[in-house]
Amino acid sequence: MTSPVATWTANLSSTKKRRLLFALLIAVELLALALIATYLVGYEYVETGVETAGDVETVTMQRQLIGDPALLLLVLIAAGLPILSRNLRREPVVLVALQAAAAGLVVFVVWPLAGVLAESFREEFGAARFSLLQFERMVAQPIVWRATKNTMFIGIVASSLATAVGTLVAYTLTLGDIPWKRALRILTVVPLVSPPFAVSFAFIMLFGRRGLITYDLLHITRYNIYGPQGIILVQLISDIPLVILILSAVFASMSRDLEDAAADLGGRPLHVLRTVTFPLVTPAILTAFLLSFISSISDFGNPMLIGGGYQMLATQAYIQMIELFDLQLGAALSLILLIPALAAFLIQHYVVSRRSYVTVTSGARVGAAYTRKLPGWIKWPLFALVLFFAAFNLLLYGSIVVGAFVRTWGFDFSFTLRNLNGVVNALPNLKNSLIVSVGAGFVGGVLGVMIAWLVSRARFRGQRELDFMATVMYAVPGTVVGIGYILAFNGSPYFWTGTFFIIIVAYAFRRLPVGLRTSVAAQKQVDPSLEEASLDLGASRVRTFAKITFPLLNRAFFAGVIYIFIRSMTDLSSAVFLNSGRTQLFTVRMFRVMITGTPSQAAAFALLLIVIILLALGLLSKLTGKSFVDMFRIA
Amino acid sequence: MPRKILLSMFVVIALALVLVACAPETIEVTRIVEQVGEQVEVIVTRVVEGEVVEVEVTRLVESEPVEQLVEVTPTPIGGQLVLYACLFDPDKLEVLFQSFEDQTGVDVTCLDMSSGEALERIRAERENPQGDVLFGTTNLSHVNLAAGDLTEPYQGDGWSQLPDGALKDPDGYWSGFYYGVIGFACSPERLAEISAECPDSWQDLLDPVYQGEIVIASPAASGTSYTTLSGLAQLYGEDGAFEYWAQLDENIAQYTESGSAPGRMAAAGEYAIGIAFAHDIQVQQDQGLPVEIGFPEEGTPFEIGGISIIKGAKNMDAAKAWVDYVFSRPFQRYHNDIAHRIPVIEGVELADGTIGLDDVTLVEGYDPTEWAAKRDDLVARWQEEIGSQR
Amino acid sequence: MAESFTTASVRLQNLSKHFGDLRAVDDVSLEVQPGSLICLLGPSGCGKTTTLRMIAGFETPTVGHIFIGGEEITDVPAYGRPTAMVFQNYALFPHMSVYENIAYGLRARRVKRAEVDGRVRDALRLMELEGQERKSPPQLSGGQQQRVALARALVIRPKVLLFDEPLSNLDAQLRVRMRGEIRSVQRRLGITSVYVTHDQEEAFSIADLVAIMNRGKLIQLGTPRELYRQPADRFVAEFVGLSNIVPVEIVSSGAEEAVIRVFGQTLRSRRPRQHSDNTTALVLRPEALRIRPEGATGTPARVVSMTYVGPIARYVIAVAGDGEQLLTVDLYNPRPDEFFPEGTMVSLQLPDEVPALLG
Repeated sequence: MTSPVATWTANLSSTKKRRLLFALLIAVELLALALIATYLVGYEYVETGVETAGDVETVTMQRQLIGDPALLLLVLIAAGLPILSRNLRREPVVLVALQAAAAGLVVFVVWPLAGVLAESFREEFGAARFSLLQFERMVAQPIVWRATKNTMFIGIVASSLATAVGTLVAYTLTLGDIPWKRALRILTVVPLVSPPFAVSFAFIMLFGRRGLITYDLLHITRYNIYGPQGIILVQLISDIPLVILILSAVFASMSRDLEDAAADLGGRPLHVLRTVTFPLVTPAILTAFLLSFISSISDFGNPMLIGGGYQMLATQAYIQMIELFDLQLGAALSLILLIPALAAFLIQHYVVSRRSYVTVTSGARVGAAYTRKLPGWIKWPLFALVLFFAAFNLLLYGSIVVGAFVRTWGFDFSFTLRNLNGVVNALPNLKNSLIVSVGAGFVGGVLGVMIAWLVSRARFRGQRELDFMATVMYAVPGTVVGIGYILAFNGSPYFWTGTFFIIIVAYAFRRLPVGLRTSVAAQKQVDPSLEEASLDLGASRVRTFAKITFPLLNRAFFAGVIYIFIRSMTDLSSAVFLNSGRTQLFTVRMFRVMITGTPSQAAAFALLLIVIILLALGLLSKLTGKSFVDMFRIA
Repeated sequence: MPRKILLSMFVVIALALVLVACAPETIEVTRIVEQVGEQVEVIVTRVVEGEVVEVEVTRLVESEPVEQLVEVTPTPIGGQLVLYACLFDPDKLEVLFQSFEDQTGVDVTCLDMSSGEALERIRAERENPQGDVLFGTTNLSHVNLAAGDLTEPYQGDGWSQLPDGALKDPDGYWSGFYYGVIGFACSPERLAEISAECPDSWQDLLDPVYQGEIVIASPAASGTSYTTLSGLAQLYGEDGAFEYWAQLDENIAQYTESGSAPGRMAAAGEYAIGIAFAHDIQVQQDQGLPVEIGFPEEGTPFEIGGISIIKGAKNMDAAKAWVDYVFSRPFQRYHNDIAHRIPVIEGVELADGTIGLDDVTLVEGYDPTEWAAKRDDLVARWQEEIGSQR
Repeated sequence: MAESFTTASVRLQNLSKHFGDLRAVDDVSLEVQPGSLICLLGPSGCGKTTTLRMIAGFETPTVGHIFIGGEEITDVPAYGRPTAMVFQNYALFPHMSVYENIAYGLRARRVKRAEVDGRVRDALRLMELEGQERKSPPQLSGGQQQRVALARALVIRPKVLLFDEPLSNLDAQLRVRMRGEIRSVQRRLGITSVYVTHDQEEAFSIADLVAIMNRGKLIQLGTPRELYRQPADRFVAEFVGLSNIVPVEIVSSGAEEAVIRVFGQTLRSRRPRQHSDNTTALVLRPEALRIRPEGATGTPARVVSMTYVGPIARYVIAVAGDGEQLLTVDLYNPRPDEFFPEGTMVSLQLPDEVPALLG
C-alpha cells in the first residue's frame, strides 16, 4: 500500500525533489537561526523609577534590549553568504558544513577577539559607549609601558638566542656526521612534551638560589635566578626545540647537490656553509624566529614562576584582571600583547613563507638526509653544543623524576611515596583536564579536517578569509584567548564561564590552526580525482568523505587530535581564566602547588602529566604506525 | 534557486527580529496597599504605554509573622559542598572533610585558589554560583563580598559564640574562625652566609645587610601582605608606613603574587627572610625544612580568617552545617594542630608548639576588620609609590 | 550485463565556464546520440576537460544547460548524475582492493549484497580481471589498473560513460591495444560515451564523431573523415594531421564549387561550409601532392630535405613565389626515379580536385 505522500514524491522529477529538499533545508536553518536569535537577543524591563505617594506605589519600567545583536548579525552573515553561491547550493552537505564552520569561527574566534579590542575603548567596564577616554587612561599607566617594553625585550632576546642555538643544533643533528644521533634527537626536543612552566620549576630546583647544581655542587651564593635572566633561560629551553623541529625538516629536505656544486667550484666547507647552506634556509630561520617570538611573548607560566615580579604583558593582564579586578586594564594589556603577536604572525604568513626556497611540510622525514663531512674543528664544537643541550634537558627532566620521589628536595633525599598523595587528591582535577582535552581534541580535530577540506577542495569566494579566520588563533596568546572568552561569554545571555563547554571550545579553536595545517598538507597529498571518482560513482558527499577522504586523511586527523589533546593538557595561560570551581584543571592545581607547596609535591604533578603525554604519543604512534621518535614532531 | 528568493528570506528573518523587538517601550506598575478592617488589599495595575492592561487584586488577612525556627541537627543532609579558596593544603584537611561527611553525608570539595581568584570567581558567577562557601582567607575578602551583597548572612552557633567586634560581621555576613599573625621566616643557613641574624624588629629589616634578601608578597595581590601594610600603617601612621616601606623596598628581592610564597622561599634557603603568616611558616617547618620564625618587637599585625556563605549557594543546608562545624571544638583543635592557625573559640587549647596570640606582641589598637574597609585606597597608594616604581 | 544497459543522449546547450577572466569553455552546444562515442579533441587548455567535468558534475557551468536523456541535470550534483568516469590517473582508491573498488559504486547505491557480488564478478569477467580481485591497486600493472577503472565505471550501468585522457599514462603499444578494447566494450554495450583526448590518432581511431575544440570554443564537429577532408579552418586543418596551407586566388565561385589558382595551377574546389568571400587559403595534404623531375609539368620547386618515415619518403620543398613557401610532400613507396637529392630542382603537381577551401 502506498500513501498519497509517497505517490506524490514518486511522481516528482529529481530536480523538483532536490528543490523541495533544499527548501526544507533552508526552512530548518531559518528555524535554527530563529532559535539562536531568541537566545542571543531579547528584551527585559528594567525599573527606571519608583514613586510613592501615600499607599500608592508606582514603578516605571523601561524596555531594554539585552544580548548581543551584533553577534547575531555576524552569525546571520556567516550563515547567509554561503547560500548565495550556486556551487554550494548544489551541494547541501558542503553548504551546511561551510555555514557551520563560518558561524563557529565568527562566534569563537572573531567575537572574543573583537571583545578584547572593544573593551579597551569602552568608557567604563561593560559600558555601551565607546571613546578614547579609557584608552588614554590605560596608556598613561606606567605599568602598561613597562610591561610592553619588558615583553618586547624578553621576546626579542629569547627568540634570537633560541633561533641561533636551535639552528646550529638542527644542522648538526640533521646533516652532521656525529654519533648517538637517535638519542640526541629525542633529548633535544623533549621539552615539547611537558607543560612549559615545568621547565622553570625544574630549573629552580637545579639552578635556583638553592639549586642542586648551583648551590649544593658549585656553592654559588651571590646570584639570582629570579628576573628577566631567569625568564630568558627557561624560555630558551622550551623554544629551542621548536626551532630545531622547524629547521631539521628544512635541512633534511635540502638538496645536497647545491652544496656539492659549491664545493666543486672550490668552496671550503665553512665558506659553503656560510654562502650556500644558510642562505638557503634563511626564510625558515626567520619563520622559526617569528614563531618562537610569538611563543615567548605569550608565555605565562614561566614569568609567573621565575620572573620574580618582572612585569610582562601576559602576567600583568592576569594579575590586573584576576587579582586586582581591573578588567579593563587587563583587556588593554592583552590587546597590546595581541599586536606584536599578530604582526609576527602576519609577517610569517604573508611575507616569509612566500619566500621559502625549501618548503616545510609536516611530513618531511628527518634522518633521511645525507650527512655532510665536516672538518673536526667545526664538527666537534657543534657536537659539544648539541650534547650540552641534550644533557641539560636530561638533567631537568631527571630532576623532576627524582624530585617526585624524595622527601624534601634540597634537604632530605630519602625515598618516599608521600608526594603521590597530593596527586591522588588532584585526581578530580585530572579528570576535568581529561574531559576538556579529549573534548577539545575531537572538536578541534573534526573542525580541522572539515575546514581543511573546505579550504583546499571546495570552491567558493571567501576561501582565503575562512582560512585566515581558522589560522589566526595561532598567534593569539593564551592569556588573550582567556580574557577574550571571559569578556565575550561571561554574562547574559551565555553564562558559559564555569562550564566545560567554554574550555573545550576555547582549546579547540585556539589549537585548530595546527590541526588544520596538518590536514591541509595531508589533503594535498591526496589526488582530488579520488573524491571525484567516488562522487561520480554515485556516492554522496557524506559517504565520499567517510569512505575516501577520511580514511586517506586519518593520520593527519589523529595527529591533530593528539596535538590538541597534549596542548590542552599542558595549557595554563587560558586555563587560569576559564576554569572555575567545578572545572578546575590539573595544570592550574599544579601551578598552585608549585607556588605554595614543596618542590617534591610539584614534581609529582609534573611527572604524572609527562607520563600522560607520553602515553598519548604512544597511542598516536600505534594509530599512525609511525615510530615513536617521529611523534615528538607533532607535540 | 534565484538570489532574490534567498535575499527575501533574509529580509523576512530580519523583520521577524525587529517584530520581536517591537514590544512595548515602557510599562508602569502601580501597587496600592489598603487596609480594610482585618484585611489588607493589594491592587496591582499594569499600564502599558498609557493603556491599562491588567489589574490584580490580592486580599490578605494580616497576621503575626511566624518566627522561623532553624533546626540544627546532625541529621544527614547529603549532597555536595564546594569550598572556595581552600585556605590550606586540601590534602591535609582531608581528615576534617571525612569527619564532616561521616556526620552529614556531604561530600566536600575544597578548591585551591588564591584569595583574589576566589573573589573574581564569586563575582563572575554571581548569577549562577558554583561555590557554596568562601572558606578562609583574611576577612578583607569577606568584608569586600559582604559590601557587594555577594554573601548570605548566617547567624549560626559559631557566630553567636563570638564576641562582638572585629571577629564577626554584626549582621552575620561573615564570621572569623581563626587568627593568624605576621612573622619573619628566617633561613639560618642563608643568614649565616651573609653573616646576619634573624631580625626581631621592623627597623632591623632596614639594615643594608639584608639587601636583596627579603621576600614579601605584593600587598596589591595578597591579603597577607595587606595585613603587613595595614599593620605598619597602624604602627607608624599611613605616611610613616609608606616612608618605612620605601626604605624597606631597598632590601626587597622580589614581590611575590602569593602570600605564602615568601615563607616557602625562606624555608628553602633561597632568601634569608620571608615576611609571611607565622602559621604558613610553621607548615614549612613541619615539612622538615630548617626555618626559624622571628617576630617584630614593635608589634605584629594579625589577620582574622573568615568564613562566609556565598549568596545563592546551591547547597545552602550543607554550607550552614559546614559553618557550624568549623566552629566546633574538635575542628578548631585539629585545625590548629595541622594548619597552626589560632583558634577563636574560648577554651580550645593550642597544640604543642603552635604560636598563639600570647606568644607575640600585637600592634596596639590594630583592628583588621576596620582596616579592611580602607584596602582600596591604601593599595592604590602602594601601587603608585612602591609597586609601579620597580 | 549488456542487456541491462539503458543509454541516453547528451546535450550541451550554450555551455560556458569562466574562471575569473578566463573563458575556459565558451558557448559550446553539442548533441551526442544515444550509443555513440564522441571525442573531444584539442590541445591542452582548449576546454575539453572542463567540458567533460561539467558533464560529470565536478564543475558548475557559468552559463548554459546540460541534458542527459532529455532531462536537465545542470544543477544535479555529481553523485546524482547517471554518468561514470574513467580518470586519467584511474583514481583507484588505494586503500581498497580491486573488488572493493569495483563494488564501491554499487554499495553507494545500496544495491543488495548478493547482486553486488554478481555484478562485480560480471565486470571482472568482462574486463578479464578474474583472479585479481584481492589485490590492491598499486600491485597492478598500468593496463590492469586501466581495466579496473573501466570495470568500476561500467558496473554501475551508467547512461553515459566519460573518459578523461584514459590512455595517456600507458606506453605506446599498450595504448593501441587498450583503445581497441575500450572501443569494443563500448560498441558491445552500446553505451553513450564522451572521450577526451589530445591525441588526434587516438581520437580518429575510436570515435564516431570528433569535436575539435580550441580556446574554449567548439570549432568543428564531424566524423573523422569529414574533419580530415573538410577542415573548417586553419586550426582544424593543422590539428588533424600534417597539412600544407597555401594561399589561393579565387578565379570564379559557383554554388557548389569554386575555381581557384594555386602556384599558377588552376583547380576546382568545393566551397567551404561556412562561406566567406575573402577565403584565401587552401589545405593541401602531403599525400595529395606529387613531385616530378624538373621539366615535367607543374610548379618549379627546390628540394630542401628528405627523410624516411617508414615506407614514406617525406620531402620538404621550397616553392618560389611571393617569398619562399615550404611544403611537405609524402611519397608512398617511392619508385627509384622518385628519389631527389637535396638541392635538386623538381616540379610540383597538384591534384585536379582539392578537398576544400578554408572557412
